Amino acid sequence: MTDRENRRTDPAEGAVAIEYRIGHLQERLVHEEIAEQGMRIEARGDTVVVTGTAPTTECRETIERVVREELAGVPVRTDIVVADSTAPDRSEELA
Amino acid sequence: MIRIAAVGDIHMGPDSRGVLRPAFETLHECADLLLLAGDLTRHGTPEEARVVADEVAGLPVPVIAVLGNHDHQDERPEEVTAVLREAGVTVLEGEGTVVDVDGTAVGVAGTKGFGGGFAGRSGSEFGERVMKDFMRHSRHCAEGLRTSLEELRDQGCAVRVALTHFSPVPDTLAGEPLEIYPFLGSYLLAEAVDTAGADLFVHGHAHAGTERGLTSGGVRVRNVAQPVIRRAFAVYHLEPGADRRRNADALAEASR
Ligand SMILES: [Fe+2]
Ligand SMILES: [Fe+2]
Repeated sequence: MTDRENRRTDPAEGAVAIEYRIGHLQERLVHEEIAEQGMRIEARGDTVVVTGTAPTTECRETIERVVREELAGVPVRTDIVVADSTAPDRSEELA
Repeated sequence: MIRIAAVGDIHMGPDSRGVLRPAFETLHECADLLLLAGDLTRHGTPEEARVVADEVAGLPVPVIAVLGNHDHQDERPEEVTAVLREAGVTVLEGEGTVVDVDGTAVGVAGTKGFGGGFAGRSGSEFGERVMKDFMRHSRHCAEGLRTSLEELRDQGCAVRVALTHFSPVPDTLAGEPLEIYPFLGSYLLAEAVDTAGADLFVHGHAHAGTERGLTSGGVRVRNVAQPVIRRAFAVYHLEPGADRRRNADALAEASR
């Protein structure tokens, strides 16, 4: 196999692998102790982006740990906020 | 004026004990009742339900809840319900309850609801047994919502609110991937509420969705999933009789 053929096939194989690894990550987040179903996990180029809202800081840490474990070797960006539990300062009129 | 506080998807576990209590303790200043729109726990264990129960126990306003899919994960919804009821929470599934707010009868009809999808793009009770079971469950939940709203009307409620976990409309799912809409709600819930009438429809479940929507019949829909409202709860103000006035206006418009 020539170098050029290698370059042609490797990225494609990588893309397929990332897709399945995202699937496995989603499954693991659901079955882990946090039962997390609300994360958006997307491949953007060769980077995986994980966004969403976690109920507590502990949950966020668990999600980030599982993401790192499950996607080891893949560049990952996370933007996970913790749910805001402050009382509202306004209401909506539905007259 | 009736003041309705609502939140869903608080997904409580041992590490969230006490997180919502300070905000809930301000409820008597801004609301007449608190609605919990399901996914109160992570796995639906009695232990997690106890965290929720302690969070709302002894609040100065009535607390009315439906369960969500997470509250079913451990397949012990009866135990979760029992723990919440012990703390004074009214847990609804295909039934209604009436709260007296300074002499005004406020009815809340509740069901978990289920998925299936939206009109023209919905699953059907067809094919494999599990598919029939899936859609039958959704229809059963919607029928429970319709009959309980009708009962509340017959009981003379001046304000009626529908409370579910799954969504009745795609409006409040905006922000969620289109591919998962059939797992997020069912048009059968919207049809039920448009048939029976209501002043407000409150749901949760769609963490990445948006707060505001409308059924084809004109019922305001609010997605109160905590990640969506970004507060401990949202508060909606309703005028008694507004639903009847809107219907009268619509009838007058139609007969013109
Ligand atoms: Fe949820
Ligand atoms: Fe849910």
